[in-house]
Amino acid sequence: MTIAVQPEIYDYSIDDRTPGSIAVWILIYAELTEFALFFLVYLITRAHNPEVFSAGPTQLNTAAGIANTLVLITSSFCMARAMAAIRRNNPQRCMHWLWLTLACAATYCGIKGWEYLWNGAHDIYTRKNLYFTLYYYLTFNHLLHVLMGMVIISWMLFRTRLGSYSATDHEGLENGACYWHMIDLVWIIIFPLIYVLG
Amino acid sequence: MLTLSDKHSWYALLALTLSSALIAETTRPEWGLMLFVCVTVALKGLLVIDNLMGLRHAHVGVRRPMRLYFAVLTLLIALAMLFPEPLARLTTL
Repeated sequence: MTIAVQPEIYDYSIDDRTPGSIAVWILIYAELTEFALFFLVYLITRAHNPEVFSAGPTQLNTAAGIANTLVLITSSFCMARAMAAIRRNNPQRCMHWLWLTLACAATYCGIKGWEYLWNGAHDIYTRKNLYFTLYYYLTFNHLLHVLMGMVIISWMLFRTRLGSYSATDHEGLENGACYWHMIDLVWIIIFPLIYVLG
Repeated sequence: MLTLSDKHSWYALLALTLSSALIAETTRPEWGLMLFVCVTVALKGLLVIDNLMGLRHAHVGVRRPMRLYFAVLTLLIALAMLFPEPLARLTTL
């Protein structure tokens, strides 16, 4: 008996087109603009309060930030694999990777919740100083986007389970995947800005 | 263009994250390390955009703004980190 093994790596060059609909790209650019404004506010506030921002990262739990970065990057990898699976018309494999993406997202929320508890135990709160106000504003805003992303991934799982997507018709999946990658991209900037550079 | 498979992109992203983490855990970054961290942010952004998001062969109107976002933002972050006094003067009312 011959078993056909499908390759895990999807060759994008055979699918020369843009993933997702125009609506989701408008949403993504709007979200990225919002976060860009937050980053500019952060940089300007830092320039006016160098001592406060220099001391800030040393008081944070850097391990939690590192763990969350690794988890979100892994979630993006899982999402890319889910998209590759549906393009090969393999919804079961797609669901497998979507569940892993959802597990990564839940892990991120768990770590973030633990980090906030750890902050509370170490006398770190929103109004302690400007650095921590912006830390909470940026990270909690990002956490809300992760929660929204989890709802979207759950919907993608439900629709995939119903057989709504195929190799030729999966724009809904692409929209959700693009939104999830956007959340990862924003964290890629937040992590060094808040936890490393301060 | 950073053309890697999704698995190799993932490995590269993990390695770049851990290098930034090492800096965060061991030292207060001076200007050289600040630039290094900013470059890793730009590289990580490009890796996700091109190889995980799948925009490597997407329409230029979608791909270019995404790539520009990371290039411009990391440049602004680097400038703000290296020259905080001029930025403070520029933004004083």
